[in-house]
Amino acid sequence: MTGVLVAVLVCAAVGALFDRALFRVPGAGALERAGRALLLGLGLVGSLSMALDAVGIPITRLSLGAAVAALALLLWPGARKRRPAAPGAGARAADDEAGAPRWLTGALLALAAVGLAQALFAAWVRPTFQFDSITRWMFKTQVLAYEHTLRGPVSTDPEFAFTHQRYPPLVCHVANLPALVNGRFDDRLAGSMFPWYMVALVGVVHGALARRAGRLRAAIGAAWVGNLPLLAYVMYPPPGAGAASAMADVPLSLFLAGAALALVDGLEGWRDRAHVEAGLLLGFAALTKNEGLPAIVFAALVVLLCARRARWRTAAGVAGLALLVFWLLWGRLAATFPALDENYTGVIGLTTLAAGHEGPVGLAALVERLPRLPRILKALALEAFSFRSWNLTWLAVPALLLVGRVRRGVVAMLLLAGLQLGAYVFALVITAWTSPAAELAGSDPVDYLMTLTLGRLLVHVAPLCIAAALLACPPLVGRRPGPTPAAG
Amino acid sequence: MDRHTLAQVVAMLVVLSLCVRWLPPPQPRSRDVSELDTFGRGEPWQLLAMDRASLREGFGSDRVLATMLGATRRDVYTPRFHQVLGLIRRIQAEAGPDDVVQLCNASRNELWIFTYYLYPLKVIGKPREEGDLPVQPQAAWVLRFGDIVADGRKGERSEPATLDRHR
Repeated sequence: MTGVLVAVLVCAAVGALFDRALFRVPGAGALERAGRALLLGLGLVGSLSMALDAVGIPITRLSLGAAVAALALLLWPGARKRRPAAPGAGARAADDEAGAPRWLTGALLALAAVGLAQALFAAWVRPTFQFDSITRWMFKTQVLAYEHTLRGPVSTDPEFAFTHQRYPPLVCHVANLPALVNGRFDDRLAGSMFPWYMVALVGVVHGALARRAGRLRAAIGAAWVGNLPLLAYVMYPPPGAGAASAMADVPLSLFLAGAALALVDGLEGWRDRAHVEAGLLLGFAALTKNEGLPAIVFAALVVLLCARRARWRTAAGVAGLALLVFWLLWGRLAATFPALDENYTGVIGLTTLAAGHEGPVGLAALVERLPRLPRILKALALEAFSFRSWNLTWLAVPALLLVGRVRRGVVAMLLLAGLQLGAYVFALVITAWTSPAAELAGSDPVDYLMTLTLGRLLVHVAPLCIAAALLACPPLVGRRPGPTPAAG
Repeated sequence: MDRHTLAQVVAMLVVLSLCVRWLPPPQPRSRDVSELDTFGRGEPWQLLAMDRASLREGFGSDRVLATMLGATRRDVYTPRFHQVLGLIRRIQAEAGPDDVVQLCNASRNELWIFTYYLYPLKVIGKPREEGDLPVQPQAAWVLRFGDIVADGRKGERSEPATLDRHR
């Protein structure tokens, strides 16, 4: 346990220093500052570890400890300077703060804490149980702990193709931290790092809502995200992607939500350097899962469509920074590794195809497989409306948006989530994926793939959509606009 | 009903749906708990029961591991999985750092997950679907998975696994 606590505290400390030195959100409360410290710290320390590997330095307690200490020393002078933290001119402050009863917001935050505590407890007492985690994320974490690098046979030898050698490994580098602290790999300690992404997610969503929509909607957002069944506790079947399952879906969800909320801060003029933060977090998202890469393009598109001024420069800056982070720390290296069998960009003719690929490529693949689309949309709708996996989430989000006021920031968030989901649907349409497991189950490969992935893919955008819906919805208590305004 | 009230109703339903998960678990009159669990909300309580068992048995006990893994991938973690784990523990305890372990008659997925459990030992073998690899001279341990009966559940092994030490 010491290894996990030390690792989390180091990440949070580095993240807090980084936040204070570079960003510092005006009006951020304690929960948001803690969430942001974890958000930035997990990404930064994982990236530092990846940077060491990228330049060929073995990842040991000494090398990574020195790199983290150097970064902290670099940030210290900036973090010490106390800058006045006032919202920017375009910021709209919370409007239902006054009427929210303390007992209600307290109860909702307690509910959020229950969800988080259950995820932390589950990760602590359960061994790694997800097949994809065992064969990919935790496998690479174990290799890092023993070999101190991911540049060896695990990434180049066809014998280890099952680990998906081109998958970006940021979460593996973070999960390796307890092994660096304790000096040995322990399945339980490595797995116990994963729920902390969800802790950060709840803090970040709560903070962004508290600043703009007040305490009540922030507390509802925290309870909602903290208790989403597929994030918090559903583990089977099909493979859950929950915070305790040592999968990379909740981390991706965190970085996407963090990036989108930073973009909105930038679009609304809430603070300086928000676009820099968005670019950095999108880079972390791309280092977390392949699905983070298209999000960079979509974020640039969102800036182009939603920004009031300097659109091209801002979009290029956000996308450029994210791509630079990804390319320097992983893309450059991964390009030399064998292609994946799920190589979607290869199928549409953008990159080299995986060895042994059969079937049409490019437009021909799209035309031949387009009839799958209705089946995919139906399966997506069935998954979204599953109470077991999502409670009322995917009914409540559109309902709140319908009764609310959809402003520019909310449009940006929904656009990003929609484009991301659209990319997933497109990938399912064109995929040439097959599996012996599908044959064993007597299922069509695409149907089988959907049972494994649709829930996870929705995890990536769910917190973002929840935050957007709560931002858009009218104040739940207090003053209402109208001809006879209430007191205050 | 104005939009403020509608928003309040939706928000209240959302919060109630979060809370309903944590109501006390249904008391089954029949063996099928799902009959009483209208919303399929049972996971937190089922998982807490599993976690209590995990604490009682000790972390990572083979029984708990086999139960949890079996719940997620039934094509891999068949009833023989528990027995195979016992043999894996023996290899982990007795193998030298340079020993090579050969897995025979294993499915592709079994090869992958046991490569994780046996790491950093080197694991060799070919998936059963591709034809078994003859026992290699460098293999210090040969773990042979049991055969699969034709009339059993898909992928279910009827015979126990065996472990041979070659050096």
